[in-house]
Amino acid sequence: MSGKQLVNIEINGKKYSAEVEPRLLLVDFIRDTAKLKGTHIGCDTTSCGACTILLDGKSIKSCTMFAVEADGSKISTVESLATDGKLNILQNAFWEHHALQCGYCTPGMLMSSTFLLSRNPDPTEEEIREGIAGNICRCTGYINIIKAVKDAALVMSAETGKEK
Amino acid sequence: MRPRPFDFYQPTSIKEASEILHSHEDAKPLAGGQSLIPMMKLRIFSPSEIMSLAKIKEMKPYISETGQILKIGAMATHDMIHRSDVLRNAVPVLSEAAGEIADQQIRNRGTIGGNIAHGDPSTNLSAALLALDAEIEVQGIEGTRIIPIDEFFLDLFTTALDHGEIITEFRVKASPHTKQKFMKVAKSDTAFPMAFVALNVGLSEGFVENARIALGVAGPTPLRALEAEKFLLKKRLDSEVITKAAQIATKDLEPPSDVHASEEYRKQLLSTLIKRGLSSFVG
Amino acid sequence: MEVLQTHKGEVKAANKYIGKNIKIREDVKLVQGKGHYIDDLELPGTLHMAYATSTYGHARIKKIDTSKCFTIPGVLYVVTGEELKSRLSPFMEIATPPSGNLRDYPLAVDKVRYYGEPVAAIVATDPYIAEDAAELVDVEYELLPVVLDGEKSLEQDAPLVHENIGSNVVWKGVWDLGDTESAFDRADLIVEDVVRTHRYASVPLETNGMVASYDEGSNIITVHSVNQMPMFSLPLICAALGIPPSGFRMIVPPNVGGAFGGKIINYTHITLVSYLTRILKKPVKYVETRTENITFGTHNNERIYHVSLAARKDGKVLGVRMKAIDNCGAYPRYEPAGAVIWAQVVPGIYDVRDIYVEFIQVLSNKGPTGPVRGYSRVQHNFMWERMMNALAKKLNMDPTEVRFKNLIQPEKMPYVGPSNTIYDGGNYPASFKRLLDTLEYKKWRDLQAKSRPDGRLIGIGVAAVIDSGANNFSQIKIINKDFPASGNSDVGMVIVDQFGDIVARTGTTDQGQSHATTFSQIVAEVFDTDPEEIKFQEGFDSISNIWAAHSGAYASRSAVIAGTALYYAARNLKQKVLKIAQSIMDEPISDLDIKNKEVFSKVSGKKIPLAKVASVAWSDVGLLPDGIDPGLMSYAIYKPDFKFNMPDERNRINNTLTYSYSIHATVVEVDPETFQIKILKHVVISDPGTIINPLVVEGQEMGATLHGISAALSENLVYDDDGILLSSNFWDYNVIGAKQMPDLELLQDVTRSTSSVLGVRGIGEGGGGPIGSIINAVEDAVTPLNIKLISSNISSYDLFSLNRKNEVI
Repeated sequence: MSGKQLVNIEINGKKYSAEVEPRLLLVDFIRDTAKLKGTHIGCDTTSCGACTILLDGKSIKSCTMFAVEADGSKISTVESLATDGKLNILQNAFWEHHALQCGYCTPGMLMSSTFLLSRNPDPTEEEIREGIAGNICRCTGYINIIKAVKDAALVMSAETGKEK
Repeated sequence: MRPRPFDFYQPTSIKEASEILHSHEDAKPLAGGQSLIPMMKLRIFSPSEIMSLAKIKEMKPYISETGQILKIGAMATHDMIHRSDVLRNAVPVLSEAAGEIADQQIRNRGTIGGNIAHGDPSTNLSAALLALDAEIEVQGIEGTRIIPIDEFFLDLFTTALDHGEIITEFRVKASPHTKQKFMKVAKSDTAFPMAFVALNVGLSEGFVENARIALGVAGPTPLRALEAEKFLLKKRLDSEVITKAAQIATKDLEPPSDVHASEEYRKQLLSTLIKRGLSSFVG
Repeated sequence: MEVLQTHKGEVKAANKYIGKNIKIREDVKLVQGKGHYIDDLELPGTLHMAYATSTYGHARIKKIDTSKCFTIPGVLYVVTGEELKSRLSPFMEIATPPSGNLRDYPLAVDKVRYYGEPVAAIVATDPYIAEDAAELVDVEYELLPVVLDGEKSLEQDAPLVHENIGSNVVWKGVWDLGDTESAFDRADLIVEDVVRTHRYASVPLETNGMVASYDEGSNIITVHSVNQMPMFSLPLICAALGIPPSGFRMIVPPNVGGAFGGKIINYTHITLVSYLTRILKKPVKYVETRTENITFGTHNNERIYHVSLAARKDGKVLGVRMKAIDNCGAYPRYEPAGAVIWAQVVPGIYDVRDIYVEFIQVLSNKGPTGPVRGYSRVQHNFMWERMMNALAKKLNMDPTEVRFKNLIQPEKMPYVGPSNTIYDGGNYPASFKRLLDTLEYKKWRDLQAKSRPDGRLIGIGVAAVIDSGANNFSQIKIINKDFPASGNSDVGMVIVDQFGDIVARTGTTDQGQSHATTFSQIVAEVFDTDPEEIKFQEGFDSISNIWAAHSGAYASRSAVIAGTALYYAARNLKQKVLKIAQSIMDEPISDLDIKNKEVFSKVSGKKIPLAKVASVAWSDVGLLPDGIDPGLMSYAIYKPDFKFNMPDERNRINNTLTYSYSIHATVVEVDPETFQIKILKHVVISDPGTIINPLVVEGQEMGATLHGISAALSENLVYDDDGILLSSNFWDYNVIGAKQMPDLELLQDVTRSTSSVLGVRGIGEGGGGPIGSIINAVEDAVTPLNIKLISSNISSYDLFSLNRKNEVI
């Protein structure tokens, strides 16, 4: 089948539908169709991770998936993390530790870290490095990012403790 | 960079998929796309037709255990394979190899079927499956057949798959009692690996009962070090034997040369990895 | 606590906000994905541009057929060099003739001179379509021989990159400082060596991008771009387009995704999209692909040094002579500035006064070079650090001991170097000692010795570098005395608005340096008001915002120059506020001060809100005292005095205002079989001068260290013998990731800069410190293998090959 295809994708709880060319990359759907500009493009080779999002809860590089393949799925982008302008624990830890400078890699870093913490609430430094190995940062030297993720894990576990 | 246009097919059954492939010579199956899409974006490879496997109802990802046989659906992701307790216990080399593929995002999306069908000598899983003597179930318009992994890789990016056939399942024998190891050298996670090995050695009272040694980026296809495997049989893994095995395994290799490593350097790396892997099995 | 003391001796109370670890306000929007980067800009009707690029390193263009491009619906325009040649002027060159005559356009004209050079540009309704059409540009080439190596390009029969200039030389000059003849006569020994620096790139995570639009009514072209030196680029662009600056508006968005020097020579793309928007009457956007960014987005200068170093047998260096050949690629865009910028660090960190340098910059068939973090000084610093090790080896001395013998002593500060650079303070020997203690130098030397018999290859390396900041443009006059720029300047503006809010602006751009936070801290200090309360207006706009001709964020200048301008603007405005308050409150001005947005009397305790003063100043102006103009707006432009402001006949000049230093120490272990290199420990010490915000300073230091480590161990732009770039994407051009980055220990020894008003030193470029310490450490590690390193980049593959060569011999 050639020509455009209708796709329906739920992004951050909102449904987007559009007729798209099969070759349209998911990242372009997010940025240009849904107009969510927080997800960035940094390379041509699935290396840099600036476009990382969660697809049905799992971190993927949205530059390496066709939008038509995401039809019917649920996506979370960096814009989903804060609630009414209030930073979540991970974002707050990035702020606290100045885990960013230019901010271009940050949305991808946050989404990779979100995924990591979702399945490993208490990661070691090595596990954090592994968790963000698919995200390139050219500003920070990664050290503050690692600290921030570690710190976010601690805060999250303290909050979970409180709830109990 | 962005890919060229293509026609897109989204079959919902294997039968339909086989028919599409059969009637469209240029159609390329798309699984996780983690090898294919980057090549399409760089416009190194631009199939005019893409057939997605995502909606095929028989091809849901799975990992199951039937007696001694472990079955892995072709759409199982590297992440699933890496994290499967069943696989970690029964075939650790496969679990380790999957865990060392690129990065978390790519492991979340990339599939074992796509990885193997690509026919690339630098994919971790090809070496692990070779070391495990895996069987590959493929389905086509003429039905189902099994291809032993040893007969699967024919040349660079060329496999025993006929056009119209799709990999549906991998089968490996549980081998919790053999010694297994996956080892790799790469500059970074975004770089192609310089060399890797997958080892699967059965030992009985210190003597080698059986051995499978698979080498990555060692030639146009994933390779087994057949002579070295033979040499090891019935031998005790002491340092002399290990060194000799590594030598035999690499002496006639002609690995590719590129900007990251020359043929000679790759041979040295492969030899070192074999030595270190085998040494880790004793003492 | 530190004192905010200006160099004029003015003393203020202990700093309250400068120097504080205040969280970075910019981070809040960026962690929410709410930044505004160039690619996020969507002007209605935007068209997209893509390049067709050269597949050869050097070839004559016989014919370009673009007709096939138009078979794709959506393709609107295709332009080639042939068209541009008649419509644009070639870009201005910094160099004088003959090399000043070379002709550089946004697209290749007549021939391609490096692999990946743009030969045609396609404009289409959609970026996908533009890329499709780019593949259909049909170019007929006639291959020409390539010249890739700097030394070879000087040979008699070398292919000429630009025939019309008669050679491949861009510029050459001599620095004959002190008396090297006598130094060499007095020497006990002479060490001769070759030092090479390799080609790598800045690769900020956001590539270059720009959007141009044209307003027919006003005849103004507006460009939004990531250019980090907008007012330097603007005249180049306007001259090429043949329009006055009043017809060209340059905007830089508030967020730029890193630059590190790599966003200066993008004026070629800006010129092209501007040209196209004027024809097409619609916005035209171009965003580099990563492949393009690595191919032509600014490479670092490759340099070869042939060095002779004269020393005494106790390790004291008496003099040094060198010939440097610098390879700037196919087009000198910011070049040949690099041919003098190294002279900011002529003696490195060492007290050596007799120095002779012959410097030649040449063309080659490689991508264009330009500023890359540590521009041109990285190479020179690296040369010193290699030579110090070579001397130590020859004398059989410890490499740290040789350095101690030669470091500039603190009592000589401020130190006027042999070329009139004024090093502005610091205690190099004390810092070096502290660094070695923290590293546990002796412990590692012991372990190294103990573990060698077991075959372990552990190595320790140090490198001490000057990280100069806040450049003096007059140094370019060494190349071209008529070059219309000198000194440096920037601007600050502070407003107390009608509601009493304090609002600040500067002329700088920001690529992640957290200017809003740090500049607010400076203003907060003057107004004794919480920095949170200071508004800062981000972004650059040549029409509606303030700027100076040198404005931008480059050469580690923002804090030093724009920060000072802002400090002056704030101080002046404070005086005006107090003058008006004096009449409102009826108290003598000497009793008044400002705190937390209130004017208060130190005597009566009476206070009024700043808003009250603002209301009088802006609107209730009938109440203003005589002689005071309405408004609370202060504008200050600051031009530093470099003391040696202009180059003399021996090319001596104070090239920058501040000279931070850093010393790196690295311990590595090399795997004897795979030759993989692992960093076991890395310690850095530096003196950034007065710190405005420690988070920002540490961030810059860590980032500069990452760039150095990645350059030394990974990043390498490799061309094959035909001039084809083999490492043009992240698969082959490997920047290090989180798993390769070692932990760092950062130390600081803070002394005020004796040159800058706020005591601040420009930092951030880092001087390439880790490159020297890593190469020295690796060479030290492989001592038993007798491997000699020459280059600033080393991979496990290189070590294998070098070792193999030894085995063969």
